[in-house]
Amino acid sequence: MSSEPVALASPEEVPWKKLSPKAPLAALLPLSGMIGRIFLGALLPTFFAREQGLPIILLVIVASVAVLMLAAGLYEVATTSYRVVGAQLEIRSGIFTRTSRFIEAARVQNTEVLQPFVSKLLGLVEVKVETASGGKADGHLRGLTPEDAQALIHALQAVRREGAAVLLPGDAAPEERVLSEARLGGLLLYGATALGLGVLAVAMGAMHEIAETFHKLLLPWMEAHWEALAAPGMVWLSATVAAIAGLFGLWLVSGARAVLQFHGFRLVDTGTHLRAVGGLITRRQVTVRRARIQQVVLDEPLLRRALGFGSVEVETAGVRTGRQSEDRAELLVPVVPTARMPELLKDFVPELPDAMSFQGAHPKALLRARIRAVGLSVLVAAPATWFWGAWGAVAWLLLPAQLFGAWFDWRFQGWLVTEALVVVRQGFWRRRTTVVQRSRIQSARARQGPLERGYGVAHVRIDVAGSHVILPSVSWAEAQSLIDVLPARRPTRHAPLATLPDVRLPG
Amino acid sequence: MTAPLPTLERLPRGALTLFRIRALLRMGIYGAITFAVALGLSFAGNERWPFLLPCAVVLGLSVLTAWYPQRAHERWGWALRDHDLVISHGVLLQEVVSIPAGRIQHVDVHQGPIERSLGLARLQIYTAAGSGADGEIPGLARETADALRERLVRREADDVV
Repeated sequence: MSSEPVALASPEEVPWKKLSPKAPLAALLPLSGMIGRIFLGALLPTFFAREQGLPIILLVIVASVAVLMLAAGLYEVATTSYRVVGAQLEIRSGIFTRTSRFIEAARVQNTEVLQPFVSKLLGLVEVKVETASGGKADGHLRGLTPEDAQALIHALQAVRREGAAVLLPGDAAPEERVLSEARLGGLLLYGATALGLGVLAVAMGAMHEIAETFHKLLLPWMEAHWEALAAPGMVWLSATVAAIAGLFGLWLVSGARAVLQFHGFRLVDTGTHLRAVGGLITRRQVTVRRARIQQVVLDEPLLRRALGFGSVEVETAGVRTGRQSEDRAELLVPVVPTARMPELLKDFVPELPDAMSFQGAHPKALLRARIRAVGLSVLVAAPATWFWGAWGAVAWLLLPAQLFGAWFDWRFQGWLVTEALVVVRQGFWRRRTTVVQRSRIQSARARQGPLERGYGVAHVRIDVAGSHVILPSVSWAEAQSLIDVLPARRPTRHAPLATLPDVRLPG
Repeated sequence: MTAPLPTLERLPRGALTLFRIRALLRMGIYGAITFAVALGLSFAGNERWPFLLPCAVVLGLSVLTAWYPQRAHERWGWALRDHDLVISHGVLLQEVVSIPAGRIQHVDVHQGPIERSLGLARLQIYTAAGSGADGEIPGLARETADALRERLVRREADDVV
């Protein structure tokens, strides 16, 4: 695999490197946060039940389990040592029960260098090495000195015979091409347009709370102090103002989150790698090997399109968990002006054609979407009318909106197969364009549910490592031929099949 | 663009027996569960109607048992080609999967007690896509399963994903 000097040393000769002595101190806060999140669900009911004088003992038990877990985590950090032997990174932890983990350098999908706030104070960094195997970072070293981190990553790269791609905090930047940078205004816009469904639910709850508070506390006080407010109609006006102020506040919070995550974001191209740095309190640096890119997703919700930008998610085979696709992506470029988009995509996927003419979805898919829209609207509007009468009947407005949305969704989805890529565009309100390398397809499947059979359509799902994409509806025959065509055929490297025993079913 | 699907290999007769036995077992289990529920209900003071519940479940499932395994057996098919393995199955949700050669990470051969008594085996094919087995072929003859596994893993896998 390698002829580097480091690879020639026998395992006994390579010394173990310890983490910095300050590492447990740096790990204290992140570990407590992690454990706290696990126990939040258990602690909240316990906290509320305490008022009835019930299980305070339970609280004590949970707290002691949490403390034990924290101690175990800190013990692991304190006893972790690592070394690069041959083409592998070996991480060892524990004294009584010793665990060793071997990570092959060639299998590393991406590396991440993090500097949370406490680590920054202590002058340390964290290194995450991700392979394609599981949900959590496979090699997570908390509390390395920057020099050690640099040495480790260089050693891993030396095995793969690659140049420097990682830049540690404080290093002078060499001559590199900057692909994308984010400014404060852009990030605020990104945050403001990142209102997902979960955020909206929280926002609705918060609005309710605001209205309650307003009516109970604020309104009597205001009416007592301001004469003008006692006039009829003014209450509604001030309630609306309060609600808008609340919404604006939420947008600010969302914007602040974006700034925390991406402040000073910079994406550079180092030739073989893409490196992104960003973050206000926790500084995060992700390095992705260009050859490891599995999938590139263009995320352009309507609001962002109207404001003239979108974001780009780059995924490698590292398996990450998270509800939102933004959490799952290994590398996220938050703000890309629409005009810059094709150029940036070309940087990620050079094979992308200049003019993309998408094939549309099957006409029957529109019928299906329309029937679903009508069904959904009736399901919501009919009970609403029944319960709330004339006000409930307003819900019938949902019907044209849904029908309109169904047409738009259908009209603007499309797919395209080129020599090397599959491009899929979906959605009108939340448009996502996914680019998948055909040579990276793990499996392709054509599916037809009982309802789809009724319409004579089917859908194709393509799996790549760590992610999947579903093509718009096509006919069943086309779906079947597509799964045959899509995975790129590579030169067969196995022994010719004729030399192997024939497999025919007995009988 | 319109490459027709290859002729698929069918599952052996034994697989139909396997599907039928499984369906019968499922019927027995669900029947027993609903019978227990009915027994509980009758002890709780209801007179006779609770026992209609297991009767209805068993009747419904026996109709399914008569029809479903046959259909499922007809729909299962697989083909090993130079560049991929194709598996087709599904009665309600029909599915055709193509797993390219060289993408297969590992292959499992399973044999439960019923399968062992019938001389059958279930093949599970894993790729790096991550979420469980990507392809599965139940009810293969043991020799076929072994030969197929041998040919699938003999292909040199890609060094990286």
